[in-house]
Amino acid sequence: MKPDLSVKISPNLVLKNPIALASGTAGYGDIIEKHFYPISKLGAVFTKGLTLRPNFGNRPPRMCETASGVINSIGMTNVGIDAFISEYLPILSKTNAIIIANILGSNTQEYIELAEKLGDSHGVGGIEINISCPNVSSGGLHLGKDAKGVERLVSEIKKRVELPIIVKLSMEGVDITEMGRAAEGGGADAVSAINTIPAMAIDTRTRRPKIGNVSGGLSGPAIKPIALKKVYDLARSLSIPVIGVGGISTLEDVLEFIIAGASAVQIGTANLVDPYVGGRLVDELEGYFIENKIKSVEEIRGSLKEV
Amino acid sequence: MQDVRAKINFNREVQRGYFLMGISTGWDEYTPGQFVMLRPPKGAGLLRMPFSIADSGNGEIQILYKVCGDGTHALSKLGPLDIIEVLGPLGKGFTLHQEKGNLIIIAGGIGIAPFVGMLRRIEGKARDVIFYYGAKDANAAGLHRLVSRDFVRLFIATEDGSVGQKGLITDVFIKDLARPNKLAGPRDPNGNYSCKDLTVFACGPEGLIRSVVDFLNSKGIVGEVSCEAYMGCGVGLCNSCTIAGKDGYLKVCEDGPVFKTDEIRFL
Repeated sequence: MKPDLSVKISPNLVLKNPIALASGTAGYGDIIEKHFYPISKLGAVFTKGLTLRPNFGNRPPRMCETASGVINSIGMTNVGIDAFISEYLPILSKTNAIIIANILGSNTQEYIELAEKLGDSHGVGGIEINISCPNVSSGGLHLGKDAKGVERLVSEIKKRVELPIIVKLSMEGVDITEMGRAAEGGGADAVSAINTIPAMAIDTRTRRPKIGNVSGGLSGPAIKPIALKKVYDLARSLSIPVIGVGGISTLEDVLEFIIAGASAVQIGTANLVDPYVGGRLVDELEGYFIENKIKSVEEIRGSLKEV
Repeated sequence: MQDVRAKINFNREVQRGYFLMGISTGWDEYTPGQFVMLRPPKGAGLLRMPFSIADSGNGEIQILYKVCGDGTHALSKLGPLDIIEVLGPLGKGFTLHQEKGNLIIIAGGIGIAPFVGMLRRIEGKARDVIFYYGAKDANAAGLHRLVSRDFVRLFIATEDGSVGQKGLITDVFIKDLARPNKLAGPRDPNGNYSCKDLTVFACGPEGLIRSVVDFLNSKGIVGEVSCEAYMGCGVGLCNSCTIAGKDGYLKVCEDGPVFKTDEIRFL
């Protein structure tokens, strides 16, 4: 019998499997669909962060590689919410994939406006609120450090929009579980963790930063153990689902996050290295369930044993 | 676009620190200017590395690269029968549809790569090619052998003056093109060169590209330049290689790397 890979994030958001693509590493999903594999195979695609107006982004270089990781400072390059809705959503709707729109505002009103525009559109499966982009100074209102602000923001959006709301938690400064509880308190349907970790690298020959914006956010296998611990902590302190993200690139990684308590995972930097990875992990997870006679994700979720 | 694990046929040091690698990809159709993303050998890094396709044929592609970091150092240690993962061909190449008129090429350093196969392909098509090649020193200038053909008039400049003229190749090119009727075809009533019979291509470091674009724009000539930017994925997913276009932003990997000189802006 085929195992049931589906996971319920909220009453109105059920993913066919727990494998999703992380915001900023899969464009709007269109490129993966066009060149690599049908994105309907995935649990969901989290879009590149969307802002009210089109955004060029930061000065180059925008990316550099460090030991087992990547520092990026893209700076929210995106087509803007209106172009996303008019040009990309109609194409994405045809794929039957679940599209979660990641949004970033520079104040509460902008977040609300972004969420309302998405709420009025056809083809959006949910909204991921980015409160924590390390690469945009005004971005996220520094909400990543303001638990009360996050709770207020989420409840304002929930009042106006019926779509499932996922809050992507920051790694900046404060206790992530406190932020998670604030999101839950505001009525979030789920949280995702972690965003990239503020980081920098220097070219010693020129004594210049390797990132045009001086610093950026670290992602990739280097941050996976940190993300795993945060997801473990969050899953134990919240009653809403936790979506794990941070350096996940293999089946082993996916299983680790689910065992730690994640309901689903997002694949990020690994997409850049191997654009086929998401589709392959879905197959590998199904194969693992069959081989080990696991009937559902819930059966192993949070199943970490004591030493 | 294909993602293949392919055998290396050869990996030859053509000049000190510069290698030509033949990879048995099974595909060889591409447009000069297009590139591939190579997965670094195990332990040599995470992200794939972009390389212009230098030439191809018989199910093989060739890349010309300079050893300049951990990834290319590891590449240089690979030999025949080693396996490498190749994603490509990617991006947009040069548009070479004219059969007549001068073709002017300005290349700097490793930027000579896309023109190796381009010139081999247009051999015998009876067009004059003027090739401006700039290099740091005599060693790098030696790469000119890869494009030396009977129908190519080659001008070389080196920064240290060891071969050809001393200085920047863009200065040589600009001086030549500014001289009336020396290289270019007919001019229009405004004194601008006619674009109809003149094709200008360039590939090289950012400074070279900027000089060429600024000069061509000032003369009302539309050429094509291959831009370089740090790429995370090579397929349009990450927005690392974004540059400014006339209307909004452009991705070097997906919209380029070859752009018309009137569609990009320098910030």
